[in-house]
Amino acid sequence: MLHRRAWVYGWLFLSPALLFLFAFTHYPALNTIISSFFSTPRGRRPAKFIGPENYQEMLQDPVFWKVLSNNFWFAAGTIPISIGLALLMALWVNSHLRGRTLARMAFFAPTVLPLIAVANIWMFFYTPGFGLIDQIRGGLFGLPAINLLGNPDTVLAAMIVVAIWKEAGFFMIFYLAALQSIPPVLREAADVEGAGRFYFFRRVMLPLLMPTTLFVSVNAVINSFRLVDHIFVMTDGGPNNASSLLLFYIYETAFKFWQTGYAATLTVVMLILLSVLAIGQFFLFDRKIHYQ
Amino acid sequence: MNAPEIHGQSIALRGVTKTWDGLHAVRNINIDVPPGTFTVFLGPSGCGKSTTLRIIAGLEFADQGQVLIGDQDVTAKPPAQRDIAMVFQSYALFPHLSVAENILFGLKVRRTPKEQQRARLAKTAHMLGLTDYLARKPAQLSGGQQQRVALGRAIIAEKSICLMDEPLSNLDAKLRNTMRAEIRELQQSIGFSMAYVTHDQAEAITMADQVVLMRAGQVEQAGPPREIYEQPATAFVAGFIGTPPMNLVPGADLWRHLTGFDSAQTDGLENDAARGALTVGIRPEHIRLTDGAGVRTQVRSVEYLGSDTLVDCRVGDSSVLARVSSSSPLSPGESATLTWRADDMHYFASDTGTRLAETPGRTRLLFE
Repeated sequence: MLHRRAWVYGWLFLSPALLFLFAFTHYPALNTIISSFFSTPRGRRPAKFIGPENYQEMLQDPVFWKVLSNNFWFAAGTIPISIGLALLMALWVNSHLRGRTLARMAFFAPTVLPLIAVANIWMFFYTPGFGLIDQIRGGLFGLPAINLLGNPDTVLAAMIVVAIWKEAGFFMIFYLAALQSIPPVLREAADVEGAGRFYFFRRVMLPLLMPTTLFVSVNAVINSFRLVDHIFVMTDGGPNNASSLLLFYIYETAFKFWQTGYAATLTVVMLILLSVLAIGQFFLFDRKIHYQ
Repeated sequence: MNAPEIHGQSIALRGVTKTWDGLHAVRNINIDVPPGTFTVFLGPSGCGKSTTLRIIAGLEFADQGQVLIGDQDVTAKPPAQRDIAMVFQSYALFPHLSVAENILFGLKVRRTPKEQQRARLAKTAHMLGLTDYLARKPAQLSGGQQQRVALGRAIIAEKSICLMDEPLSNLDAKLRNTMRAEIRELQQSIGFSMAYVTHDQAEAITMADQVVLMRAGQVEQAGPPREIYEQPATAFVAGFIGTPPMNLVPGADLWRHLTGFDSAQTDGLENDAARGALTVGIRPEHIRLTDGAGVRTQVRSVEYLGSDTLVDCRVGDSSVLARVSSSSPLSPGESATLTWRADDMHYFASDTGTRLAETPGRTRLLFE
């Protein structure tokens, strides 16, 4: 009897969170998978089951492949550099330097600022002719103006820079916390043995930071698919889809072109991609990681 | 026991001073550790013993003074150039490395040839009984085993000096006793010089060739354990060494409560003591109960310790602890007369705490 009651209470306590989790995560995900096998409903024509037709269409869609490769380069550009930069910044602000609180704050600021607002500032940096970059190029080196956002060859790189700037400070906080949990006495023990800074970093610090690196890299992968706000503001995916990413393309397909069936198909692809990457990372790293 | 494998080097501190934000951590320290000997730095927390060790190690640097290792001035040299090994209180094991990798850490840093690494690891592991644990991570070991790994990392390097900062304080009492003997034996068989920091006087007394007793950043007394115990240089040393430590009673208090003596012997003693600002020290284990002449006291509490009984007696405003045989029944509130041999008495100046060399003449008559 008592056991029964405890069971009821347990579910009652869980239910608010469960309700939201099912309503906004599990149900939509399931619904998306189902929708991906249906045609887009239009006017009086309801959605009908079309099997894998959406998937076949996707494989034929040159924009999908373009967007996928963009996303690959976006991820390849942002993930390693933002993690590396985060680690460097964390090491730097963890050392005994003057004004390190200020440095920490400065590094963390991009995380706090809304990306939409920040994108506008970066728009100014990139503006051809009188933007910050051209001011420096022209003023200091006498180089001609360039249109970084208007050129399909440079626009993705410009987006990558913004994303790195936004993310590195956030990851730095995790590294900083991890660094501070490494006892200073380990450094002293290594000193006594004559281990240099680099040796200590490579053989002791880096391995002890691995759990953080796994966490951060999973987040970085997710963010490389998720972080598209600045594309709305700065390029709208252009020119010629050169800066369009998968999530941005899904948004366009669903809410600009109203091809919701196809958008659902693209979403399923993204979900699968993310799950495979996250699980893969765990398996890849897990053997090497020492958890305290 | 085999002949020592390596020759320990001497350590010498000459006028070493270190301040933190204007506060003296250690002040004008002069210490000599003869080669191949075991020196224990002993003192209450905050006395500067750890700072002294860290200055020897090169983890801290002296503001003034010199650190000599062998005949070399290493005052400004980094730890790695001092020919030292060190064991930390928290062991400082690398949690992600196996026992073998932890022990070999220094040899790998210095790129010792692989075969030599293997041979030395096998020998060290055998010496410390770690052979079966080499593949484990520190977290999978007990506290005592972790301690051995830290020891292994220190001795595999075959340095001429080993420094230990309260290495046993995280172990339980029983293990501490066995490790104490083990460390002492390692030191003697390998032959390095040892500087060892502890706040546990039992460790100091049992292990050391030389005890350096520190207080408030200064050396109170340095000498062999027997000397520290038998001839404490100051009242502080007397009140620190011994379990329980020496009773320190103002002379005037003691003389006021003399009983059973010839009044010719005792007249004026009280005034002499008060004038001379004399503190008398007597160890609890040297006190006997007597029916004859002695110091008259009130028993306040009795603590039964098995073979002995610790009796807390009141003499004027002071209390005197006596360790007496359990066969003499005493209970709180009773009066007891205490006596001791004149040779067991120590005299200190009440103001400076320094030991007074000569025994004030007439007390010798009192206690036979």
